[in-house]
Amino acid sequence: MKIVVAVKVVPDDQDIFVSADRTLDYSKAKPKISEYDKNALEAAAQFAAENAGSSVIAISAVPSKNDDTKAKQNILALGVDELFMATDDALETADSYATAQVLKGIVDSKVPDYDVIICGDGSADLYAGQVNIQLAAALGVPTINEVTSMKAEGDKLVVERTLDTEVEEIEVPLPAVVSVSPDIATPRIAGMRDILAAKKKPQTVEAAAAPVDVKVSVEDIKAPELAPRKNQIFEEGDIDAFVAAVAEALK
Amino acid sequence: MKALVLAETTDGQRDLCAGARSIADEVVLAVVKGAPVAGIADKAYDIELPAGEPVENAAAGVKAVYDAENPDVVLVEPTPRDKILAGLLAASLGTSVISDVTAIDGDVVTNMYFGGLAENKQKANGAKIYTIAATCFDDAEPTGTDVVETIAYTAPEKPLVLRGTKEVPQTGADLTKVDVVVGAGRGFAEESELQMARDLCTKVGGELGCSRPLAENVNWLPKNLYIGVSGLQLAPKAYIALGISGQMQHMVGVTGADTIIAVNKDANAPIFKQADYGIVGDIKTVVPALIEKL
Amino acid sequence: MDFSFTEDQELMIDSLKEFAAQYFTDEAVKEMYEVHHGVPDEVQDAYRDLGFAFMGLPEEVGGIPATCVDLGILTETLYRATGCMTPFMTGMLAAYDVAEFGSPEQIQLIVDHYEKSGRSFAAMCLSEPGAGSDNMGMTTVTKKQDDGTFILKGQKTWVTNGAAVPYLVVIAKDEDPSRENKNMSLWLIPSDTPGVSTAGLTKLGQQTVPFVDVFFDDVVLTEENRLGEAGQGWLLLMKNFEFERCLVVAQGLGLAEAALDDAIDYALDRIAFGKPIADNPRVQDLITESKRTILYTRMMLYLCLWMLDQGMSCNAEVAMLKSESTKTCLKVADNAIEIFGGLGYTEEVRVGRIWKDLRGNALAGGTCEVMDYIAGRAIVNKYRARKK
Repeated sequence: MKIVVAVKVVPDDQDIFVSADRTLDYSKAKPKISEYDKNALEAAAQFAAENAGSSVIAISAVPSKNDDTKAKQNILALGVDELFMATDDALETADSYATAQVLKGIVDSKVPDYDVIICGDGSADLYAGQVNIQLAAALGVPTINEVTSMKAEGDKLVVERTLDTEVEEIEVPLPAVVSVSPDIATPRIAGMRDILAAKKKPQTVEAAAAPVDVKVSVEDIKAPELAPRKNQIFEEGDIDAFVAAVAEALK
Repeated sequence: MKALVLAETTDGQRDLCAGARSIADEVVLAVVKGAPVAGIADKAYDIELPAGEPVENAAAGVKAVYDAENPDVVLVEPTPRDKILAGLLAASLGTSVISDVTAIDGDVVTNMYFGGLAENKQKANGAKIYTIAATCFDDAEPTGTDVVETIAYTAPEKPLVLRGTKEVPQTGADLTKVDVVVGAGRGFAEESELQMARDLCTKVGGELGCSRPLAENVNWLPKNLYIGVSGLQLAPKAYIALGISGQMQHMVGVTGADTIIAVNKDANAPIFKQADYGIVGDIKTVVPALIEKL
Repeated sequence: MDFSFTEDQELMIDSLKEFAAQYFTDEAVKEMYEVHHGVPDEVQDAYRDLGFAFMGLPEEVGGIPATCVDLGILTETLYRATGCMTPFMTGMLAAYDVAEFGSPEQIQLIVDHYEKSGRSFAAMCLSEPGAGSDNMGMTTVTKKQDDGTFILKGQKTWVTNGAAVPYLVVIAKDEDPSRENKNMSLWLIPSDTPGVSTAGLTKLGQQTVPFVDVFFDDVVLTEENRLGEAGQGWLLLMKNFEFERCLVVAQGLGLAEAALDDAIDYALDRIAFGKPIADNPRVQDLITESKRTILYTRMMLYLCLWMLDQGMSCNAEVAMLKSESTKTCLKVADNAIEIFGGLGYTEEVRVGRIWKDLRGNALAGGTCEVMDYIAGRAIVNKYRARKK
């Protein structure tokens, strides 16, 4: 199996702060693997382990500021054999169509013989859950989302897809693009041998092959103005006053 | 202005058609699998799906409706299945879906960035296809006719095969429909402590929900009770947050609440800045006191 | 001069934090201190599987290349992230000694052990009831028999990990226990050898690390048990004292950081007189003093480790550092208790536990007084040498 996993590198949201003008200040936020893409990486690594002779190729489309040595080494320390990254500054807020076109460019030129492409549930920044669909459409292959388990059966993938009210067992003809629920696998902790071996694994970073073709223009990104609240905060000793306030509110 | 609504559940159909009516003078409804609800749109499309086929295989039918109607905007219920149908429609039109829209202002729509840390105001250059929760529209009654047109099934080139389904046992209420929601967060150290949150629900006639870690990391509560970005978006009369720090990713799910009440032992927890009433204290002492005294 | 971490170090730190978050929750740590009196095998196996146990060991035992600075950062991060004492650091030091001085057969024992278990491989038996830093006073002795075997007799004490490991590294005098005899040898002895027995010691803190007396009652050894060259035992051991002291400092630094992290976090939450106590100047004095200790200790620690990596001795430097920082880091935990107030004196929070643990670090690897003596002698000797 040639398993491709799509990974986004984003600024660490723990360290994104809101400036006085409500714009976001990324100056302290170091690039890291987007949270739920770690579950996708783990799903890919486990799927490779279950299918002897498999390889795992990570692909990533990011603005050049997120082309980060540590983040790339981290990706390669989590069960990935090779990394291809395409950079373009327009990718920072690019829509799912535009991002998928860049990923398709990587797939077509670097891993045209892939069997399955695994995407995470959504990225930490946009959380659209759409890139897998757009990438599948661009490549002309089927797609499914909310996958909680998968196994290979010949030229098909059999997935368990978990929705709020039912679980579907679905056969997906390969090649295909699937997006996995975070429940599919708990990300591993990178071991020291993996961390050191990651430095020796092949990685290729290139500018995106074609100009990023954005279909949705970003007008403004700002922290929301919080709805005005009463902000009456009581100390534990004032429990009676608090209870009275709650009782009034619940009337 | 013409809006096309693509929805899966009957509630979703009704609510989105009502919402669509507030921004469009013509509302068209498209439904895959199951007959469209009557009387909520000016026209409805029943996109055929042969028995045993997965919903995603009906993408061509959705495109056929779009081509027939050429709507100004497409509003999609944000279910995993309809997200795929919307995405495939967008891809076929050479554009993107804008996901989980929270506000529509003409051509400019808002959704969340970094889990609600910021709002992303954006504009689709081509076709406008949004997934959107019904809570984003003011309450309204849908109106319409009983006109239904059927779109015949066209199988995709590489169809998915549905081998079978099993039901997920439903635990917990439909939180979108209750007046008082009690939310449990990481302040609960052990699963057994959730009982006091349930007791509080009984006392105030509310239902229990939670923040993402409780549904995902420890699996104490089912995922359909998780409130926040990519989870439930609620607008109850009152939201009681127990041991919830108030991270944006969670709070975006309850910004529509009339009143927010918070219990947290950390005086600096961001929840207090977003609460109407709060108490700095341990849930283990405050919650039993609340139950006793309310 | 470069003060930044490498990517390898940053990723190691991330993994250590994830390891700590997964296995060292408050409840788990409480259980380790109060119920297990040790770290569960599952956690020790995970530590091995993530490769931390192999850091710095030679490649022939499956070791992972690491500098002394790397190992210092590993230790500091582990103790900060877990906020508790663990057997890993002491276990690592004992494994180094065997890997460095051992025969190929003895080194293979390390490999065989780690295949089976993530527990530490060996414990170091050095101190005796009548001889701690005064090592020439030790009386444990081996006597050669006519058949070529050796009989080991004596008692060791303060043996960290002593009851939980498969091997003991023992230093004993050759033939004659008298003070005048300076010939000592190292021995690697399976813990289950007949005549070897242990008795647990209860401690003020550090309950996660078993601490025992070890008794050797006519234990029969062969030449195969010998570790390194005969008569050279003390010289061999001394080679790693500087590094050991660095790691004791790194442990204490990590624990002090954990205490300060908790205290500042609490000071920001705790409201008194209408504002967080963190805004109170007297509380800020405690915080500043603590943070200063942490910064000074860290800079000096990294300097000592860097010197070792350059092949330099840091004998005087680390002696001064250990003497000073084990006291000041203890004061950091003390300040943390002060910031928590009455709560700090309860077992509801961990700063008191850290305070008890840190008191032991002032004694481990040599008391402050012995450290001062070592440093004083080295500094004076250096100046005296220049006068000639």
